Amino acid sequence: MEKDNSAAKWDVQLRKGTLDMVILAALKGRSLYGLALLNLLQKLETTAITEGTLYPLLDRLKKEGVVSAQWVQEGTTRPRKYYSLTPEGKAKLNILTERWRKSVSDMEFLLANPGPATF
Amino acid sequence: MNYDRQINQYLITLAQYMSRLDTQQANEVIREIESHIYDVIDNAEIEGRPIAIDEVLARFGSPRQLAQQYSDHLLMGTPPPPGFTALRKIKKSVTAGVFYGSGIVGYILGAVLIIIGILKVFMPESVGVWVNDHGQSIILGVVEQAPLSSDELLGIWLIPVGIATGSLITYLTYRLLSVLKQYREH
Repeated sequence: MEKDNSAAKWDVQLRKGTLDMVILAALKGRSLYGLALLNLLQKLETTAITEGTLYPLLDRLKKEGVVSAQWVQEGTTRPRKYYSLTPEGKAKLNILTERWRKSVSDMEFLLANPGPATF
Repeated sequence: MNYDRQINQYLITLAQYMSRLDTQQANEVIREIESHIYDVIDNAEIEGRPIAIDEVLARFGSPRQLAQQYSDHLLMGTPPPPGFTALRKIKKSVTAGVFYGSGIVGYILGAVLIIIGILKVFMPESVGVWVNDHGQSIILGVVEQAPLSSDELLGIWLIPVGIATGSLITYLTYRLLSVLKQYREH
């Protein structure tokens, strides 16, 4: 139980810090409407968020100019608002990706080098 | 099953809480959320799953919470300071004249009060606030000689009152300009 609780807390904290990157990464190379984006994130163990988090976040990212949104109607379905990365969003994702990988490699280094400091 | 009434009630309440935003922005948000909810219902019906509309709406949070999340970043980037709530209703049309005018008036007034408070320390006889016998005029500033037939107000208290009031006005001007700046940039 304690183990599950710690893991859940970790996921929440990590999600808070990486939400912007999660959304930008999910939109890399594709356009998605809200429900499709939500379903994609909910399929992944550590990125599942709710509607109440997703939509205001998308709106903020749109205001920041890193994503764009466009209403699209396909056939007889109801119109859906599709989101995609702007050039600024792609540039931001590149920066965040680089920092993310650096963080992971730093963490891996620490985990792989336990014991007395050698550097 | 017809969920329209429950969904409409949620959206109407949400619209009320979103009223502080531009109508177009609020309508856009509500339209998107409505589209999402009906997509969820359609998908569930296609897959033959039962629909718990309460759970769907709960995932958005209460209308008030949801509207708050939108308005926080739409209006300010950060929530406004206490006391500036009324400014939320200002449309996005703050002109340069209003912006710089507010800044100049606020900062000059604040600076004058602070300077007078400080000068009172070194020139207690020449600096002060005087009101004449009939209360028809007030003199505030630095004078060679105290005005005749006038009573001095505050006295030595002008030092803390002047500095505190001047500082407060300067701070409020700074916060006011921070708020107005948001409406000039977007």
